[in-house]
Amino acid sequence: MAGANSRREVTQLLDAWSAGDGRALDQLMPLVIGDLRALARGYLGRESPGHTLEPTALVHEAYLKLAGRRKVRLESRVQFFAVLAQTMRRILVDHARRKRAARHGGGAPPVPIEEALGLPVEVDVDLVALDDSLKGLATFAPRQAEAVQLSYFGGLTFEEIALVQEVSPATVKRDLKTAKIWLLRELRREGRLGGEDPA
Amino acid sequence: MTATRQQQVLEVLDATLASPPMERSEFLDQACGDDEELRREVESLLELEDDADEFLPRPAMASLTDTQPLEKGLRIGPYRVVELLGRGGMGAVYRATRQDDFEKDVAIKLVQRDLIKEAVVRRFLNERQILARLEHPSIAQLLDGGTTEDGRPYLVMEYVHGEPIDEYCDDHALSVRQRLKLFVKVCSPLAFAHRNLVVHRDLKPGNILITDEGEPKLLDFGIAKLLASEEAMLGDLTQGSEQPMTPRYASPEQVKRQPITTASDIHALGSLLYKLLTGRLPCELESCRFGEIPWRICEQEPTRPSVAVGREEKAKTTAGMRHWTPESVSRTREGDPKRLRRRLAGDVDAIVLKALRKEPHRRYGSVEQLAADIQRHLDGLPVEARRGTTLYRAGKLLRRYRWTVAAVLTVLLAAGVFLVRERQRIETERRSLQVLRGLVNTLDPDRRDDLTEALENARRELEVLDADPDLRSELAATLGRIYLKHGDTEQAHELWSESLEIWRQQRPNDLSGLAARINNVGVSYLHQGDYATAEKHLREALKLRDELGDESPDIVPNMNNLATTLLYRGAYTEAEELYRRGLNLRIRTLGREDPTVASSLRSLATVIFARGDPVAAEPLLREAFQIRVAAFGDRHSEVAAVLDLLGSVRFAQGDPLEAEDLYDEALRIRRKRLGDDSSAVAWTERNLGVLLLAEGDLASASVLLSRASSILLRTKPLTDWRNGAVTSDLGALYKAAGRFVEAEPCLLEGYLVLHDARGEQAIYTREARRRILELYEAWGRPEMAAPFRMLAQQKERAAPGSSP
Repeated sequence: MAGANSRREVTQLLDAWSAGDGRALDQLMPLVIGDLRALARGYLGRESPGHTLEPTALVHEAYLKLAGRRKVRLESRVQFFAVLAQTMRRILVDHARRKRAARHGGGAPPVPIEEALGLPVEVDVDLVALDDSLKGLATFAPRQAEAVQLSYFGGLTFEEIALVQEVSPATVKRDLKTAKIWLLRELRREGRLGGEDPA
Repeated sequence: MTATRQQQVLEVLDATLASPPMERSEFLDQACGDDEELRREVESLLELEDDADEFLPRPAMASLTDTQPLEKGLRIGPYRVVELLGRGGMGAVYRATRQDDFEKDVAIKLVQRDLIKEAVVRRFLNERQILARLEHPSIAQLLDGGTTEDGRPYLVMEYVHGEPIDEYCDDHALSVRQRLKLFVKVCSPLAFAHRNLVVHRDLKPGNILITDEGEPKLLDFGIAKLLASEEAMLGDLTQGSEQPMTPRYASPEQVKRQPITTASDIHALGSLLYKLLTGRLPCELESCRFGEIPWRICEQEPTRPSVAVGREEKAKTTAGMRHWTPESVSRTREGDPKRLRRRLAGDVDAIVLKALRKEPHRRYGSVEQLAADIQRHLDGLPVEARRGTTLYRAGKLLRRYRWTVAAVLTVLLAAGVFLVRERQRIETERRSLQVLRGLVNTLDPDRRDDLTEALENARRELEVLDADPDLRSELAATLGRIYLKHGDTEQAHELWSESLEIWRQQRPNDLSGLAARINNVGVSYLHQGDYATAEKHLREALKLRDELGDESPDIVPNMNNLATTLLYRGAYTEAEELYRRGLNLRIRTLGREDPTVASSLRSLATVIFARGDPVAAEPLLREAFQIRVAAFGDRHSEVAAVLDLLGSVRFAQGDPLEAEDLYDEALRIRRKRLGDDSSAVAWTERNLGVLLLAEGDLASASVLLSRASSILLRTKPLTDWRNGAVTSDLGALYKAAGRFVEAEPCLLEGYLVLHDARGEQAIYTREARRRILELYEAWGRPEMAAPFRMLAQQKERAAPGSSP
């Protein structure tokens, strides 16, 4: 669990990142993930039959743990989700890539992603292909691509995405629909739709 | 395609999606004009619209319990899914048909994809093995089993077309008699399972369906267990974190992870019967607070069914808000509330409660015995559940309530001795015995309700006992003390007022006795949280004493009661002064070593601590500790009271480790001396919970705080400041867990109770207020915090009571 130091660090990094310092993000990720894992373990370890836990709840909690009692504006909370979405995307895609490399004889297979994250991950698309298509989409429709990232990797709701992007939730809804249609076509065209191997 | 072109396609697609489906073609004509390629491109994308809805349906990080939706038509082995029937801990159950036999429905249980683990697979095999040996017309049969292409095991079972038993009973408005008969039928397959060494372990209405023919079918042996000899072979499946159960129907031994036997199924049957008869569960867990569930199941005695049906209750259940009224419950049962109550009182109450006993060995010995007892009742024969209860009661009772009985007896006999006339003495003794006998006969050690009943009987006897005012007044005072000890402040108040009234009329010139009784009434107001009235009475009593020139230590309790009242009203200065006066009076007349000096020291420390000076409070407590240990030994509850406060004082000085030790010790003593459910134990648990919460041990804190809250709510009025404090603590717990939505009402409610009970400046109120500020800040809703911030800046108001 993040101690007082890392808590302060996160706050500073968040500030730096929102001020435009891209490197802050790289330093932020290990902290975020570390805490998220600890949280997930805490939840999984604690038996609570019938208690469902949404991924967003985990994210909220991670943020609170990290940011502690510092005064939190709504926007900065939402920015944190955005960081998290970016982080999740990178982790999951890297993982899928390493796994593919391992299959083609490139070293030892990586640990299952669920284990690495301490969270169940449900993936039924080729993440590497999705990532490629998202990058493509971002070149001419950056807002729509970002909406997918926030929704799929960050678990954000329409309302939360709307806050990050400063558009209306209705726009978010439509952006997501448009983007999904596009991405689906891209993936089908390349024949890369289909599940990752069951972990 | 260039990026510009792609952007153009996407924009047209986006705009088309935004227009109504009927007008799309028209819109495309307009938007694409002559650009055929653009139009083809967009149209091909639009074809994907439905598929896209299913694409990336949920975030990559799956929710922890949810499973992927399963489309209609999915194939599992040679079966085709027709619909989803439900989801459980391990996976989903579907209705399906065989591809070569569409006529016959089957139920298929399929493991959730991300749960294919050894333990789950083993459990599936377990169920298969168990079902294979249970061929009974009232148990859903196993038909087939296998593994899907992606390696998920599945079971194929007889599909039962039926209704859960509770819904069936209500839909058919079955009478109590019909319900009992149906229940006896349910017992048969279960008894059969038990004879085959199988314990079901998950009995609930959803697993007991009633077919159109009115016959029960038992389903879902998913967590069933083979007993005894087979256990070694299969491995023990009862242990370990994988075990899913339905907490609402769980038995105490299941919660405590103690050995599971057939008695656990009997407990579940008791819960089921309770539900069928009263419409609710013996403990509706949805209304529980966070973390309270294990305690409720293991400790809280269920209300008698006949009493429960007369209650109006609200609870949040899985099916939404439920609201039970005597009318709504009786409508589908006996027609009217009175008749339903009478129908259940006695035999049925006894049978249900016997099945629900906390200790497995005190329940029915077998399902057959339970069924047979119900049958006896249906046949009008005396039931086993009520046999031998009188003897059982008397023995248990005298042990448990010996002090109550002794107190009443002492008063009665003492009063008798002073009566001169022989005949009157004999009469009084006869009455005394009657009171006692009434007390003994009506008390059942398992149920709190009965104590009230017994005391009410005693009160009625008291009214008949009109010969001697001294005796009546004294008995009323004693019963008042007993009520207070059991947390019933209103009854205590009534009895003490009665005792005072009798005294005023019969002994108007005995001012010392009058002062004592006025003091009592003042104390009852203090316990009810009416501090202003308490203060008035206590001042009046003290004034009487002063006028009598009473300089004996007897007046110190009166002073202390007044001081406590003032402390609760935030008038620290005068409270401290009064405690000091009492302390000095005691030291002067009784010597420094006297145990009552320790009480004064502790009280003085309380007020000094409350005004924010733990450093000055500590030496007083250390001295009180030494006096009490010397006087009572180190295992006495009076010693525990000092340790508890010393813990808080050390914690306030930044020493959580020593504080924890002190609380632990106080708890150990209090539990032993006062019983697990006393408010003193609850308060120390609360203190320890707050400490652990501050230390970040949320799990332990939640257990302690929720238990403490349950007990305090039962033993203190809702408006008591302790209930305010612990409610706020629960809010702090929720907040620490990041559950702001739940935290908010707890924090506000706790604060308001404290505000009313102790005023704005009391240490607990300030703490509760601080928590609210923190919540809103963390939540990003600073505007909500503004009023509380203003309150924080208010000056300490004029101490109440400082003017006469």
